Amino acid sequence: MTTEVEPTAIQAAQSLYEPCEECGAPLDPQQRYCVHCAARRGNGANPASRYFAAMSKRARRPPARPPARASGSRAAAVGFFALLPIAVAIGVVVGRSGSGEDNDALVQALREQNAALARAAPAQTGAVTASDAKSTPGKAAQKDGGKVVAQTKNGTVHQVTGFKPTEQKTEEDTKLVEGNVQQTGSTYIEAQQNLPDVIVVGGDPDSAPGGQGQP
Amino acid sequence: MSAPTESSDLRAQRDRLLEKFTIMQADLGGAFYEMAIRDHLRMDVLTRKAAELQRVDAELLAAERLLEMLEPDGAAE
Repeated sequence: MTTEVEPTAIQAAQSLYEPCEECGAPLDPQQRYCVHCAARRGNGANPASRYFAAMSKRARRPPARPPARASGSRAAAVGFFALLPIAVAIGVVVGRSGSGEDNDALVQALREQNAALARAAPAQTGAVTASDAKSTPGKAAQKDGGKVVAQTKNGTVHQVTGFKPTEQKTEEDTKLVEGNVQQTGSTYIEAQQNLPDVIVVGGDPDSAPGGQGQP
Repeated sequence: MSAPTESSDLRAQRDRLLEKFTIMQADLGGAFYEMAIRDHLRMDVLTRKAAELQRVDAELLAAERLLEMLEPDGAAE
């Protein structure tokens, strides 16, 4: 006794089950591997295949990035070397403008000091005649201190070497210093700012604190 | 062939074998899973695929050993 299968049923089964590419066994639409030969199906229904494809794409992407990064660093290097001379020029200009005023004042003071020394040399050689004639050109300047060495924006600079103060100046300066010691705070600072550039303090140098005789 | 070229070729071969091994192992597991859920286990087929995987595994191991000898510092990359 034989059983006959209807042709429509066979056609339906053939349309429902695709054959395996390796062995021809029918495969369910949800089947990812053939259970007869263990071959993988070629469609994209396998999540493992999708995962490996994504990983492969991701692994191939990084080699394309380094050239872009390299071009960026190259552009940065070119920019750096292009801007370097400009930055140096700006630094030089700023450096000159920042210290120019002080340098000018210093140069001016040195020039005046040299000129004063040049004038003082002939005056010292003729000191005898000057004292005999009672004509003392630097006498007016010696009221405040020694000879005028330079004029600065902070005041007149006097030469201390060889300066012999009068008794009146010694007393005045001593009072000034003694009074200054008693002051505190802003008063002290103002008093300090108004001090002359040469101050004569009386007394015996050997008895002063920190003198040669005493430590 | 210079040493760096040989090393880079060996590294490329190692990468190919590693990829092949990973896919074959996933296929073996996938095939076993498919057979198991459909109650259609065929151990002879699985064993044959396991033997193929074992061969690739041995090649991969040899390539990694060789690479390790050529590049003692960079073999683990």
